[in-house]
Parts: sequence; structure tokens; C-alpha cells
Amino acid sequence: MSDFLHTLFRGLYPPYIFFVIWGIVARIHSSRWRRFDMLLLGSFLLFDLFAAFQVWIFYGILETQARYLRIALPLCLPFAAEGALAAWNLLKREKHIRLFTLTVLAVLLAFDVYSSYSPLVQQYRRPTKRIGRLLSQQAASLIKEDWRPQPKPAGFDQMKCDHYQSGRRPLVQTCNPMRAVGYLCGGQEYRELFGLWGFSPDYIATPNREAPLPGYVLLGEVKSDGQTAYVFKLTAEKQ
Amino acid sequence: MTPFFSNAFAAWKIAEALEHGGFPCTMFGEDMLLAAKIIETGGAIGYCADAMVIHEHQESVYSLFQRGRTVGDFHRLHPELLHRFGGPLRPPLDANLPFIALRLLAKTLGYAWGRFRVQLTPWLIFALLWLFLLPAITLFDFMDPDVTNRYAPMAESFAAGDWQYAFHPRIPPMLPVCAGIIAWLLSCGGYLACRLAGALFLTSGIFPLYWGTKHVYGFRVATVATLMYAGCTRLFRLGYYGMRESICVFGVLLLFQAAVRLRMRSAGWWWYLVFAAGEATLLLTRGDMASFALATMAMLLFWDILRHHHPLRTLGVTVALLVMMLPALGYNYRMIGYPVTDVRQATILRRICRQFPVLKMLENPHPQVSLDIDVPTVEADDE
Repeated sequence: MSDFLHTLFRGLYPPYIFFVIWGIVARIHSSRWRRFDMLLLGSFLLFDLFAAFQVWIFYGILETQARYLRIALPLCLPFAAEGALAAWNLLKREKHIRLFTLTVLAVLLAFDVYSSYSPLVQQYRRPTKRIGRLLSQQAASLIKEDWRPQPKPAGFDQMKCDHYQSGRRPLVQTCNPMRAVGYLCGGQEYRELFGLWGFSPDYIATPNREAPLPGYVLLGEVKSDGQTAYVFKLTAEKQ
Repeated sequence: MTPFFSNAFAAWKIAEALEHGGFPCTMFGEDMLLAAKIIETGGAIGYCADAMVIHEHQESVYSLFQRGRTVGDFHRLHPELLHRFGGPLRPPLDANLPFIALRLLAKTLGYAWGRFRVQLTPWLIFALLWLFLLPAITLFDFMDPDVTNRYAPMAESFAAGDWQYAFHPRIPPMLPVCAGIIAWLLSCGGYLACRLAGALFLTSGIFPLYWGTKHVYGFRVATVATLMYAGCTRLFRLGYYGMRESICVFGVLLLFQAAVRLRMRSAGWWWYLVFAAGEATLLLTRGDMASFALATMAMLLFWDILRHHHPLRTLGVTVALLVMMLPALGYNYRMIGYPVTDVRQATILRRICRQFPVLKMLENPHPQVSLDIDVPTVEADDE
């Protein structure tokens, strides 16, 4: 429950909510609050309400993601802008306060730019993500080199209504930081539904040295920053 | 004929000037406005080539820009002068020296900004946002499993004309189709195409946000709101993740702009189409947007009955919406047996059909895929 509430809070995007509240108060205080404002604010709250409980509506689980809630964020930006302008009008009156505000704004802007790119920067700087990305790329090129296109086996075109499969081979079983290996090598990630249809993964990329399943042989290993991943290949007689 | 007249080197016939109301109250150009008024009522202004006046400014390039902006502002606020006497922009006579060219450029840019800033602002923010998004898309990898396992292969299948894998009942077609078109046009991979599509929709959202906000709250609020939109880190990230949420943001903003215009009595019929397009964008992007889309349709119906005493316009929007969604509805009717945009809506419709057998006619008795769905696990945000 606390996770759910925390996600809701993050989804409302706290840096702007302060200005949104200021903007709403400023409009009400100056008697400029109109029916359309009510409609806009109501739509924003309604959207977030639906977004917060959509997983619960469909599956009965109380979970959501902050990015689902942020879809409606632009609806409260007019209020946030009013709030920001009201704040600026208050702060610009004296020169030294104006200079201080502009300096704070410049610092916030720099932080904003950094924050915008930070998930990308983390892909290159945070060890787990960097290693996962590099190992994925190396494992994918290893598989790509080894894979010889084969005719699709019977029943491979099946579809399940709630899981997409791209109809591509090779099927690559991977774990979390390397889930893109299947796509990068031109195939797709091996998921449970393939097992239900009777198909085995063509390759397995794993951090463990031992063969994860009988019938697989080591194709090669890839290394990055002292971490190693092992790529196993389904033997011909098992196919 | 020109109404150009500057108090810096002019003499007025005071009686004549007072007869025409004197100098109007304005931030700039009171002399020119009065001169124009005199000319329009049959009077005249004259130029004395022998007169000598010393009038000098040490103008920097920036102050020339500001001067140009002030003149542009003046012409934006008094377009009747331009209609009556023509525009002020003439080809420069002696712009052969780079310094003069630079000064002229500053003045012209200032003038353009002053005169056209209302139109230019969203385009500048649009360009600025692309400027920041393009390096994020082209230089950095961000391998989200949803994109690599679903949307990117679907886009590639669409670009290759492999329709069997280009569509799926679980994933409404908006992102795969748009990314597929981009992949086909640019001959690029589905992963890059998804990220470009996400960025395109995010940046396009600037226009409905700006024009809608300007209409209700004015230019300053619209400019700041649009800048806050471009500067919102979490929305910006949606632009390069390559996921569906940025398309939903665009859909919500289309609804916003349509709502702004529809509250006016003079709203044209095309704003109803924009409303329908906003609804369709939401429904064809994420299945779980159906509840919000239904709520906004209910609001439109309520407003329509209140304003026009009949729901004909809402009916029109519904028909337009159904036409826009028809291919997706037809696909899912064939595949999973219900005319919906997402498999989760089908499970709810199935429950409703069981409660109300009269609705059984909506069911396809021979769907290609059975409607058994697993409960998913919601993964934590990667933030």
C-alpha cells in the first residue's frame, strides 16, 4: 500500500505541484476562477484516478506506475504557469532578490537537463546497467554469427491473446539486465508461452558457467568490466 | 505613401494635432499613429530635406534587436497601418559590409520576434525540444524490454508488410503503425523508429497545449506552460523511451484544445473532429485509456445537451470515432471475438455480454485466438 501511495505521489510530479497549487490559489484569490478551470482540474484528477486504479479494474491488483499518471500532467500546466508567473512577479521586485532567483533558476535548469538525460547516462555510468548493456550487445553478436536461419517448426506461428511473439528465431532465454539480447540478435526473447507450445530456447545467455539445461553446450563467453556471461547453444540432436 | 513620422526630428502644427485627438496613449509610435490619422482624414505630412537635425544613438547589436522587436510589437498591435500603408521591410541598400549586415540581421530578427512572436513561440519551443531529444535518441541506447520485445518487432513487421506480426490484440496499433511508417520511410530499425515516434508525438503536443492555453489564459501563461512542458524531465524521458505514453500525452492535449474551442459558440465542426481524433489517439494507443475516454465522452454529451438541447454533435463525434477505430475493432473482432481496441476491454465486454444476453450479437462465435489472459506483474519504474 505504501508503495502504491508513493507511486501516486511521484506520478503527480512534485516539482510542479507546488506551482499548480499556487496558480489555483492565485486564480481563486483574484476572482478569475472559471468553470473551464474546474473542468480542467476535474479532468486531471479524473484521469489520475483512472490511471491509478486501471490495473485494479482489469486484474484486481492495487498497483500502478508513475508514468501512467504523468500522461495527464500537461492538463495542470496552465495552473503551474500561473503559479510560476505569480512567484516571479513577487520575486522580481527587488534587484538582489531577482538576481538570486535567476541564479536559482539557472541551477535548477542545469539539474533539469541532467535529470532529463540521467536514465541514459546511467546506462553508461552505473556499473550494473553498463555491464548489462555491453554484455547484451556482445552476446547478441555472438549468437548472430552462429545462427543459421532454419525453417519455422510447425506451430511456431501460434498466438496468445495477451502475449506478443514476433515469430522470429532464434529464441534466446536471458535474465534481467540482458533481456534485449533476443531482439538484438534478430530473434526474440524466450518466454514461458514457448515452453507451453513445446519449444526450447535456441540459446541461453546467463551469468552462470554451468549449462542451465541438459542438451546445451557452451557457445562462448562475453566479458565486460570483469563480469562474464555465458552463451549456451541447443545441441543439434536436441533440436 | 508612408505614415512614418518621428518626434525625434519633427515639428507639429499643434492645432491640427489637437484637432485629431493629440497623441494616442501607447507604448511606442504615438507620432506615427497621429500622422496616419491625419493622412487618413485628408491631411498631409511633409519632409523637409534642408532641415538639419543631430540625433545619435550608440546602438549595440542587442539594442538593435530590442528596437526591432519594439517596432514589430507596434505593427502586431496596429495591423491597420500595414494594411493601409504597406510593410516596413525593404531590401537593404548598403548591406555589403558584414557589420551592417549583422546589425540589419539583429534588427530584422527583433522585428520578426516582436511582430510574429505569438506564432513563433511554439515553433521555437518545438525546435528546442527536438534539439535536446535528438542526441538522446541517436547517441544513447535505452533498451527497454517493452520496446525491444514488443513495439520494435511490431514496427519492423509493419514496415516489412508482415501483417501477421505487425498487430496483436494486446497492443493497440497506434505506436506500431506510426513507428512502422517511420521505419519504412527512413529504412531504420524498429527500435529507433519507436523512439522517433515517441519524440514526434511528445513534441507535437506543444501545439495543442500552447494554442489551447493561449486561448483561455493568454500569451504569457501559454508560453510559460509550454516551456514547463518542454522542461518537465519525466515527460522528456517519455520522448526517448519509445513507449506509448507520449502518444497518450498528445491525445490528452488534443482533447484539451478541442474542449477549449468547443466551449465557444463560434466553434467550427472540425473541432468536433479534433475531439474525436483525441479520443481515437487515446483508445488506439493504450487499452486502459477507455475509462477516461468514456468519461470525456460523457462530459461532451452533458455539455451538448446543456448547450444545444440535443445530443446530435456527440453522436457525430461517436460516429467519427468509430470510423477512426474501425480497422482496430475489426481486427480484434476477428482475432479475439469482440470489437474492442484491447484484449482487456474484451474481458470486460465478455462479462457484460454474459449479464445481458441481448448483447451476444457483438460476439464473434469463431475467434482465431481464445480469450484467456494471465494476470501480469507490474514492473517497477526504471527511475
